[in-house]
Amino acid sequence: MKRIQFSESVFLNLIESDKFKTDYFEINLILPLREETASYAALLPQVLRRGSKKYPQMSDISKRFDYLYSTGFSARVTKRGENQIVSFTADFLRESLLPPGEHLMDDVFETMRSIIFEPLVNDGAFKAEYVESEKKNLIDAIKSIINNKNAYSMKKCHEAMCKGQNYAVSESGKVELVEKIDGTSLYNFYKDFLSHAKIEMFYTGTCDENVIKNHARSLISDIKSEKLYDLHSERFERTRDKVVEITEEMEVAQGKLVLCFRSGHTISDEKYSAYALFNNIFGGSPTSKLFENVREKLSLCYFCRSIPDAHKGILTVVSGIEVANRDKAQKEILAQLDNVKSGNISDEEMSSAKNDMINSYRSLCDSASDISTWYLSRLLGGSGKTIEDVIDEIGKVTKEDVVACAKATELDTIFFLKGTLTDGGEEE
Amino acid sequence: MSAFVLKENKAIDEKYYYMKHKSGLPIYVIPKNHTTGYAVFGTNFGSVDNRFKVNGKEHLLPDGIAHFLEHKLFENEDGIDTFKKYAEFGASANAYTSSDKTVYLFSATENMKESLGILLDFVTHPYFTNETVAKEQGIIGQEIRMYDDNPGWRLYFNMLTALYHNHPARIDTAGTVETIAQITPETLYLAYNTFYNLNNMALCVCGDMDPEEVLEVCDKYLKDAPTISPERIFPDEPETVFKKEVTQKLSVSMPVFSVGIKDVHQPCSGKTLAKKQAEYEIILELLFGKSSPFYTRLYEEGLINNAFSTGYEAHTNFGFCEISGYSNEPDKVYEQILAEIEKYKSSGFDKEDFERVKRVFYAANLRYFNSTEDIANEFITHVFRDFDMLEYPSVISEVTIDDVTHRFNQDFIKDRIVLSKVLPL
Repeated sequence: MKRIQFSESVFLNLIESDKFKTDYFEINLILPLREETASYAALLPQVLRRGSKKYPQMSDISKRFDYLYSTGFSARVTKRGENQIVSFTADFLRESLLPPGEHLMDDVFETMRSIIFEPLVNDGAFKAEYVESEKKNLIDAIKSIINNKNAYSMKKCHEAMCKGQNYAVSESGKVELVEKIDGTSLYNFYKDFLSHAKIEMFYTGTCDENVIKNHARSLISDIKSEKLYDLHSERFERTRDKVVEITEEMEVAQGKLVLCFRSGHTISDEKYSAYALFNNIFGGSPTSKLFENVREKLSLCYFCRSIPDAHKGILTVVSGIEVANRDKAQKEILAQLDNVKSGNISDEEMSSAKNDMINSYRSLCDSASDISTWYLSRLLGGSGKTIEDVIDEIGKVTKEDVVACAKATELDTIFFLKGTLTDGGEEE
Repeated sequence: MSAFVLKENKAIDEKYYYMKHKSGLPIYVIPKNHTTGYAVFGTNFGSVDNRFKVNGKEHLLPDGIAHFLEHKLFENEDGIDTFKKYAEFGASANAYTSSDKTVYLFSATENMKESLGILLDFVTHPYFTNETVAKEQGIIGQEIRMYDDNPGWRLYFNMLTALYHNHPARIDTAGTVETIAQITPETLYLAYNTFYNLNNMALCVCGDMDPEEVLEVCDKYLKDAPTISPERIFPDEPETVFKKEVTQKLSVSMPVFSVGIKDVHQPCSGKTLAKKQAEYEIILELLFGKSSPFYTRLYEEGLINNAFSTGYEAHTNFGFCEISGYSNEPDKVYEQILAEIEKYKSSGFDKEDFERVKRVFYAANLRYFNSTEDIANEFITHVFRDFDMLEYPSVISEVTIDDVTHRFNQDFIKDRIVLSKVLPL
């Protein structure tokens, strides 16, 4: 990957590759995750993709992309640690697959520029009709988290554990705050956001470096950058012996048990790779201790896995279980953590976990969007490491390193979604 | 030199090697310079293949057995879990069962030969005992409970139970806690010995691997298989739907809907099926795609959001269209869908719209060739339908406006349309 700096806040990352049928371009605009701005940032791309000055209707935009050989265009909002990321992506057919003499790239960039930077604005406000309609959609989306019981339970656990911290802010915003937004306040946010945001662009494809550089530069040429936002994630730190337990009842068939731990490790640590390897051994793969024991030996669940947040420094274990098996499952999950703490790791487990992680790092370069996401996450964590660097590090992790990571992992908060149904939902 | 045949589609810059291995197994090798190699080994045995005749005797298998068998094959007689065997060589493994196939797969960035050996070895060596079956009943029981709480899954299968009177497509892939309790080592061996016959299976390897190397591994692990030809028995299925509407209440934030349109032209395979699929997809895009007047209108009225989607599911023994999304007024959306169909019945399709949509669909289809995972999975899907993935782009190009008009008038009939809803409690 080649990293080019345009200004203090703007970067373009280039990955040359001829193995895809489509070229891929992504622009990420990054701001700190804060309650007062998160709802605005979540709403913004939804309003922008409704219509621009040149393409005022949603159907004008979709017909335009249809015409550009079915260029895929998407807008999304995610969070990484305590940063919120507004991303726009486009993937479009590579030139060699087009009829002779046809070009796409000029038009794709022109259209993206129109949507993101030349919006439909009247009297200093976005179009009220679009704002109101997208507010309703966003509120529906915020509420729909409950449809996915796993995601809902993990979110509840994180909110309880990180109460009062920026990490507890949802990247989709908050219903009460979304309701208050109007066309004017959103437009004011938009202008302010563009002048302070960090911008990371990624391109994967066969295009000549200078050509893509010019496209990227002209895409963002209207941005007048002022002081850059302060972007960093506060590491989760707390010392307490008491574990907070929360139980919520819901009319569902399966219980969801979520255990949240303080991990003591973040991506900015020199030796974070050891923690990633510890996670793989503990509950990050089908050869992990959680899979092998909670699922295969005790048949308590279909899934039981651990997921680290490398920016915040927390580790989450989640499992779907029979409500009556709650204590049994919790006891076994903690017993497996103790197992790693006491150094009960075979050479085979070490090498399997290393192989598995190295395999997945190497596979990253076969997906243009995965590789961008991976690098963006590293860059936000203040790490300039490449995939090869991380592969090297994984190879050097020792059993003692893994044990130390396990020992740093302390239980903080438990959330249990207690299902009250014994047999499915009611059917009419 | 072995008997590999090279097939090429120069227009899209894709090719593959094919041979029928002496064991009976068809092998496909699709060369790619990706870092990740991807192999799939599957049988065209899925949840709908529950009734069959073999050696003159008829059998009925418990619901969910194909999926149960998929889980159980990962266990080996030597006591070493298959995932551990792969892990030694750094491969990442998985499997899935659908209505019409069971597929075992791995991806790897090195040691492709070793991992391919593991794949061929474990799938051809079943090992089931009472104890391991009982253990799996607990695990799959939780998988079923998980799906009980999944609104998308419930919506989909409720729609199928409304579409079909008798066809086993209406059976949940995983079965129920009660039906999987009937599974024994004996029923598993019966299913295995009938359908895991190399003549009934396929291997597709996509990545940076030489066909000769693939052949070498096949020669080492595969024994000649006597041809077994089970006769699958499907019940008579009327052209009408079983019921017009089905509703379930779950803890969801807003109503979810799915409209199903039954395709009655079965059995169907090869190019006929591929062409039918392209026609259905083009019709759905014309009527309900993101650039359609319908989508714009309903979106602007707040009746649908951008989770709205359409698709046609192609199988050799059944097929249907699905139009789904979120809405606070699912009945109204349903009415509008029916009205849109009637509108196009009288107006017909616009030639320019048709050409645009066809071009969109053609280009969108090429995205399947971006990843070795997508290629291998899509490839084996076409193989089991007696077709060739590389020929699909030209099938799309060949579809005419008369084809889609005929398909539309003939098959988008009110009596074949159902509405499935999941409503908040």
